[in-house]
Amino acid sequence: MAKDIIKVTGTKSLTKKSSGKKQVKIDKTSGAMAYNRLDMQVSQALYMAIELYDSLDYIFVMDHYDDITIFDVSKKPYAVSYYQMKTHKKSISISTVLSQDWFAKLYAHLQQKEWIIKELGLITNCQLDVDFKVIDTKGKQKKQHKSYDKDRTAFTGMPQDVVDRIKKDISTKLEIPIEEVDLTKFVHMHTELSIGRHREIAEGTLSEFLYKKNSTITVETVKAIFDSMFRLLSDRQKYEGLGEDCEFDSVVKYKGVYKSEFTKIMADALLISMPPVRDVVNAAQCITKEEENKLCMAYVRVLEDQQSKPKAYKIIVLKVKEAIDTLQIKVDEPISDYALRICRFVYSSNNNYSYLYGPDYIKVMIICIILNGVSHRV
Amino acid sequence: MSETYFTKLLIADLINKEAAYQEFTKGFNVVTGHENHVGKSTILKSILHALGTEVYFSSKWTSNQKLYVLVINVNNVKYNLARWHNRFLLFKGNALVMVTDKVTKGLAQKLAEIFSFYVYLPSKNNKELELAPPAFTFLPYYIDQDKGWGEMYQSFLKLDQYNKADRLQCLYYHLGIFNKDTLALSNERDDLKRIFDQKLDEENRLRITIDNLTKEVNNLVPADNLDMLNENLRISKDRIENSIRKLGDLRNKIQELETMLHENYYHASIIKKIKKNNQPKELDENETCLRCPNCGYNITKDIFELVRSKYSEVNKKYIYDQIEYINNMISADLDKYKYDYIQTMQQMKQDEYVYNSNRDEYQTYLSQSGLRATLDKFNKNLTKLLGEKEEINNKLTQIRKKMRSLDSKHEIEDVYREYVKSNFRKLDVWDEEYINNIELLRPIKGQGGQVNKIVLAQFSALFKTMEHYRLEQMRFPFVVDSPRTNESSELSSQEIINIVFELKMLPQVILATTDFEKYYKGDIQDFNIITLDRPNHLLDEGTYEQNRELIDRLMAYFNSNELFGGKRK
Repeated sequence: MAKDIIKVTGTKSLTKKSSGKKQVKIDKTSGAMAYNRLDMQVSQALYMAIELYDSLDYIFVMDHYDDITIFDVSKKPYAVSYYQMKTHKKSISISTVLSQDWFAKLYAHLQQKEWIIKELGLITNCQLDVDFKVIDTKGKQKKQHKSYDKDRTAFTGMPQDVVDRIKKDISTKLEIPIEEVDLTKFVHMHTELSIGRHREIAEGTLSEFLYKKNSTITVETVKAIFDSMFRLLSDRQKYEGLGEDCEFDSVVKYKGVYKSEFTKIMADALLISMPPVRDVVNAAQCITKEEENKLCMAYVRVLEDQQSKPKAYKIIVLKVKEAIDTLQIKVDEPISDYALRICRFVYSSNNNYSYLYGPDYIKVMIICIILNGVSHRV
Repeated sequence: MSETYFTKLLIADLINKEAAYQEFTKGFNVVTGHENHVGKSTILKSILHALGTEVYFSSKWTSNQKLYVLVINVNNVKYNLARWHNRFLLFKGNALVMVTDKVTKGLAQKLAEIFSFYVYLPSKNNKELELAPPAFTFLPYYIDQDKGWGEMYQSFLKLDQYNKADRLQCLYYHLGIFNKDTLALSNERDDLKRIFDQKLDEENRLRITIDNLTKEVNNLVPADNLDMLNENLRISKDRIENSIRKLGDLRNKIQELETMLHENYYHASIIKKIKKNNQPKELDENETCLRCPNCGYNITKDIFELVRSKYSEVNKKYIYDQIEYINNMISADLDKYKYDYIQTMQQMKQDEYVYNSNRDEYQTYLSQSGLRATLDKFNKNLTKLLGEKEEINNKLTQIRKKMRSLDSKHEIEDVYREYVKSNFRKLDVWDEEYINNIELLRPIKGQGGQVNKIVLAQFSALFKTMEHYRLEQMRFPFVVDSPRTNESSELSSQEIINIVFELKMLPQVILATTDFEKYYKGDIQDFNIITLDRPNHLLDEGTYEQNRELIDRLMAYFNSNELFGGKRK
């Protein structure tokens, strides 16, 4: 696929003249453009992951079968959708699509029989321009132009002329009888992501999604979740250690991202997110100023541990989470009492914890977790 | 009208056995001569000397070896008054009615009874009224040749036994303004005023003292007994102890907050030091990748760590903001505690200053109760003093009321003033300067050649005033010695003589002057003219012999141990 990218975007970057003098041009931009388009693919995948989160249990495979491959693993056999992502500043014409063999490449996926093909998508950041001929009422052939910029347009819904051309192209390139060419799975998807702002748009979509699930989520937490997801998808996309014919499990292992991983990211983010200290203090219902000050001190220590002692921090926060899951807070139970119960649970697992993490420390963690909606009173 | 006049005078020199004898008549008597040193003044001085006054005898006159006998007619009753040294014999007719060697307590008393004329003057020592000696009875009735013309009423010796301001009050008796009662009232008034002023001073001093004591007492713990004092001191000590406790708590709180602040800054510094690129490593392609077979969770790729590091990345500013927020809260609390600490410290110092816990409780009680007792005492004294002042004021008011009803003094003095003015004008000695300076008790001094006129004018005015009011007081003989002294002008001399003989209101005038006939052109038919013509020879043996029996008899009395208690002269 990397080669394809190069082919698509950089075909003219290095040229040889057949005769005479050789002209060498230095390509200063295609590298960066390539990077950005890779990132855009990740943003698009993330975008689609958010869109599909509530409706599908999926595995995203980046940059292997196709630019983006989505496996619906909710039941077997898995259903799969393949997507190619093409970008252009202005528009892409159907002629370009045909000439670049994009349809042919997508159609090639129909030949695998292991999974059910759900969708074959051509994702563009710009409108798809089609020129076609129509015969008017007088029987004359006329040329017409149409642009497709909706979220999703089935190719079968395009003008017959266009459909015929596509079928003919596929038939020719893949040596399939034209009458056997099936375009029902093919869709054009106009993504709202732009080349310059794909990250922001994707992050915004994620923010809306997360806010609907948890209205207390902070901007920083959203950002952390987005960056984490992006990083995960990027890592998958970059991995190049697989051969072309490697097993599905290996592919998924190295190039795939499970929905559960996204779920884990979100859950961990909420676990470690620290609400503003004033919210924590208010929730603690401190009676005296002294209690309040001690709580603030503990808050700062938690922040510091989060930054400077990640491993230790992970241990204790997961321990506290475990304690919370085991001993859920009751409806009218005061935070202080609940904190004491949790402390006993935590300290019982390791004697050193009582020296390292005082009751105020544990209380801060508990309050943060409850405020982030990770745990609820029962 | 009561009147006294002299009829006879005998002067006997007991050593030289010489004597002089003169007779006087009621009315005008002139002792004159053409020469000086004939004894004119001596006769006049002897008259007054016999009456118990001290006169300015010439240094040559040996008064102590002389016997003086004066026959006095008091309202037609004849008295013989004999004087030898300071011993006096008084005969009423032939009956001895008084033997005394005390001028004031003896002679003055008797003469006052005889004359019914009392002069009381305030004693120099204790201001108590006492009967004045005869000199003050005769003060306005004698003008001494030497001492009488410079300053009025200075003709006698020993007048300074009374204060100058009090001496001339004897004139008020002659003018009927004073009697014993009124003078007593006046003196009582003066005494009371003096006492009132003293009490006023005392009151002012007391008030100052009371103010100072009150200030002192107000600074002390108000307590009526030791228990109450202890309670008050306990309260003050409690307050100080509370302040100390509070200071301790505040100090601890400040230290706590300082520590918190330090810790926060330390944590913030740690967070700052953490490198940005503290990110999880990318998955090594050679690394074994562990995944949960069910959910696919990549155990190797620690998602928690991924999320934590991303969270840390994006939250740096947020973290600093939270720590800053906490630090600001702590700093605000710190400032508040520091302020409270300073306030408490100041309050404690104030409490310590006012209620010094180092003072001995007993001493505190003593000084407090002592001061209170003193203050109470002073207050009582003040109350008493105010009461006394009130009483004195009431008395003064009463006296003033009484005196207003008796007081004709101003009117009489006004009349006197008019007579003086009239006399001054008549004698052509008037000066506009005198217009507001004519006062009975502050006679105008004569100056230069007009001395005698000025003096006589005022004496004359006095007598005319007596006559004006037809006063019942005793009138005595006016004895005038040498009124023409200092007069160079004949006309003036005449005028002076004329003034003297205008005094017809007096029972007797005895005038001593040289060349009387030369200067008096009036009718002298009724005048008793005594002419002396032997200078330095007033006394003679013949006269002594003629009066030997009387002299011896009297000397027998004077030398009697029985009469004078064995004291021989």
